[in-house]
Amino acid sequence: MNRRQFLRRSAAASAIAAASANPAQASNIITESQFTRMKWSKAPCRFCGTGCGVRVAVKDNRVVATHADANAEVNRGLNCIKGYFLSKIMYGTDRLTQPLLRMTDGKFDKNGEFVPVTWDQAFDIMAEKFKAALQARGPEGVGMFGSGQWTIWEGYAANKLFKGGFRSNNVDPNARHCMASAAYAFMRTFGMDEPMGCYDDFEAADAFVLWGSNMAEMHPILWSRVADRRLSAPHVKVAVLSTFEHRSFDLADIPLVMKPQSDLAIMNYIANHIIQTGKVNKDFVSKHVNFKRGATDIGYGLRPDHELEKKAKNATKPGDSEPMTYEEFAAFVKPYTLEHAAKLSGCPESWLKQLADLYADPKVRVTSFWTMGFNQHTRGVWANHMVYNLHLLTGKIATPGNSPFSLTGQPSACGTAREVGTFAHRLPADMAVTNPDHRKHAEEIWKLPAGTINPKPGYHAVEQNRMLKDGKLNAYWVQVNNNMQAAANMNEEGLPGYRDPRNFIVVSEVYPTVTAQAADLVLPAAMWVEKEGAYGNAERRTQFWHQLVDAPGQSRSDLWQLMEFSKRFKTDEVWTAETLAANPSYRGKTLFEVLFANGHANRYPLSETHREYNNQESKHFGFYVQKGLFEEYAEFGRGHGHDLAPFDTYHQVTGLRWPVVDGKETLWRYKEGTDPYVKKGADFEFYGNKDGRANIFALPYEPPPESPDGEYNYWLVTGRVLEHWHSGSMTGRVPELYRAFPNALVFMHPDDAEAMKIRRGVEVRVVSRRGEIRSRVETRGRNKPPRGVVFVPWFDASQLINKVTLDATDPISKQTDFKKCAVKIVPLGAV
Amino acid sequence: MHSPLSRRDLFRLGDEPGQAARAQEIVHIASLLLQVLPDRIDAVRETVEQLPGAELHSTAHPGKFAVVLEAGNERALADATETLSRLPGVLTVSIVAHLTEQASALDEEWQP
Repeated sequence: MNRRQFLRRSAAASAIAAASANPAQASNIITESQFTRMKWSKAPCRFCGTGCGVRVAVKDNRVVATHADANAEVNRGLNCIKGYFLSKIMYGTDRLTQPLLRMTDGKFDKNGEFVPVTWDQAFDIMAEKFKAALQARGPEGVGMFGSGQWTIWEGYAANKLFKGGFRSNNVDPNARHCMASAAYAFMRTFGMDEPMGCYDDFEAADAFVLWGSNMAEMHPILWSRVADRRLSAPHVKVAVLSTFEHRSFDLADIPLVMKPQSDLAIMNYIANHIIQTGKVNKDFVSKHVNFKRGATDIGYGLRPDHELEKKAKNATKPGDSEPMTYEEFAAFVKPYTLEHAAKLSGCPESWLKQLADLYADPKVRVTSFWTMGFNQHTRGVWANHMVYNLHLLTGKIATPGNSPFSLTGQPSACGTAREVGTFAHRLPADMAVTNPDHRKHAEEIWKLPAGTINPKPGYHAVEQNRMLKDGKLNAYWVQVNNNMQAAANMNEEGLPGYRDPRNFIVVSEVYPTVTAQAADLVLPAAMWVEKEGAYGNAERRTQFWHQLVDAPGQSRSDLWQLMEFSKRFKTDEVWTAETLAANPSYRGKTLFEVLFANGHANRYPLSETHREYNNQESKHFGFYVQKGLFEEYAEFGRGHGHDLAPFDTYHQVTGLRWPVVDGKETLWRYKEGTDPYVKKGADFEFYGNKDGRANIFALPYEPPPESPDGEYNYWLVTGRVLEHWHSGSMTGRVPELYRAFPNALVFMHPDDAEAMKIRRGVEVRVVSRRGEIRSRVETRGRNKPPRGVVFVPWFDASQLINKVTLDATDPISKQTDFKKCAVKIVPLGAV
Repeated sequence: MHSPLSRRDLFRLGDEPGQAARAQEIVHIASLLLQVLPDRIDAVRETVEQLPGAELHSTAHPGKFAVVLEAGNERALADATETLSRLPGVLTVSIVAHLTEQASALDEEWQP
């Protein structure tokens, strides 16, 4: 045998072993001598919320290769195409390596050009602007837009600095665009955030229902587990619902292309079907469920002076509800007949009935998946409730295969945004700033004077842009996200606030993104394995990694930036005179001393860091920063259903699903036998709520804020493609991924194109009442919209589709609906 | 009104890495795991046979196939992966192994 034959056989053998989906048998054989000489370490993938494990090879302070971790339970030796190219995301040729400030003649000038400055100069001007805003407007004048891609300790440090230090709750993550509807519905239904089940559900389910999720492209590794189950167990059914046909339809036994917004009517029909056919699990419902009637006519989260908001009856109290009986609930959903649902959705009755029977049949274990189709929805919280209604009516929940499963788009939307509580209304471990007991508890753990934490929720993501535009939020820091490209209605609500001379905008970034270029000060950031990190994935799995390489030039981690910046503030500058008079020991201290070097967060010495790995922040600050912050953070959840394992454990394992009690992870919460928090004899217990019951909400179908009309005659749906992740700032720098899908396209029905006398590849304008882009028409390929719908992905910085979208949000979750607005398509050259 | 920001001169999306990082005479051998609908397997087999250096292996699991690829650069591997993932009936394409070797060493005798 020659070397080629050996390598080919080795490669085939590892793929065949991976086919068994048995991590014990699979191994990625890396035989080549240059690879075996490298240092391999573990890390979770940098991209989506799946949380695949990868092995990372380092040589000469550079990541030279990655491969899927055969021992990682999530992906079992498999990588998607993005994960495969992870080793290249840090090495784009336009990597930012020094702070850049807009200057003219050596001085800050909002209209100046970006000029390299030192970190000291950067923090000088930044502190000056933050102090001015704090003085002029108090805590409400400063804010931060963070990320579901922050590491856990970065989000935790940001939360502490803003909510504890500046007393400002104006910190919100980009997860607001992504997961807020899911998070609110979890809290309202179960009193606790995040799924009760886990990925092990996929191998136990008899049916999968995708509600507004294109897993084939957006969660390909999880989709491979679903496909495995479908192909190996012939009785398994897959239903796919979407507003256009996509790659996940290849596996669909029940394919449903529905009209936008009609998911609400379909789910109420299924609830009605379950009731009418006598398939309600009465024992489960009587013991474990409450019924509530939710407020209706709640508006669309637009600015309060918008006509639609003034017209809506309950725009100011969208989350209200009152108790109701089972009988009243049954009467509420009764008008949602099969005929009614078919009419509103445009779906054939026969398919809808088959779908309803999957939920109704007590023998079928159903796993429901959803992502942005549900969450980015002006009734997103309702949509989440309605799917829980189906699982709760039938008792198909919290047991293997019976799983309403909210998927996530960011690697730590769960770990950092939700668990750390970096939303404008939240504190760690599901606590809220509006709750006096929660504030007191947080102040105790953070060793802050009583009354430090502001009781009023801060500005949420969309409101931050509006307040910037209105000149009420004047010093603003953006980390680990590209919100100028990501947020809706960029021309009217995004860019004006960033470029307003009253405001100072700081963006910590890795590449010169659209957001970085709209900033006044750009801070170069370390990314992924250039720092020690922790992420939490969609199945409650917490995963750690070490710093494997040093960040280039002067770039520093977001954690370092937050902590170093806190040294620039004294308590006397940010806290009230009364607070300091009552707590004189805090006087004259820096926020760094109060928040980080407080004898608690800095209690682990530098000597505890791993000898074989660098740790830039810990060396700089002189203590084990990540461990101190994590152990302090973990105090919030231990003993309260959010138990995390000891810090050091996570560096040894490929992640653990919380709550981790007595060293054991929890796969299914709320069920006796699998969740140690459920009381003996309770069978099920939704202990996030005081009465141990989950809530079913009666909610109606209501129309979207904007629908196609005579002039703007198409629905615009935005979304993603397999090759790129979110705004493309990382995947666009990988030559192979860029080339695979270089530019966004307007996917449309061939008959619509023909009616306009345009061909595939023709350049068109996509125009809404708010803005327009130019793109090219695609009538074939992976996405097949029905007539009257166009799909445009948003990864492309040269085609900013969010100039076109509408900044309407779910009034409860404040999450933007990126899936429904009205546009017209104008061929270039036409008037 | 704010003047539009010029981004195009700053962006360098899709740039090839510099000379230092450019590979020498390296051959890449990779393996993929494909999940294919049963009635599409023959069409997938035909496509794989037409890809230079590619071969298809069955596995013990329904609908799952291993594909070995060999190419002179990663771009060709990415292209082959794209081609396969766009075939009708191909549900997923996952990347499992990726091995590299100096081209000159490939014909050497090898005793594992």
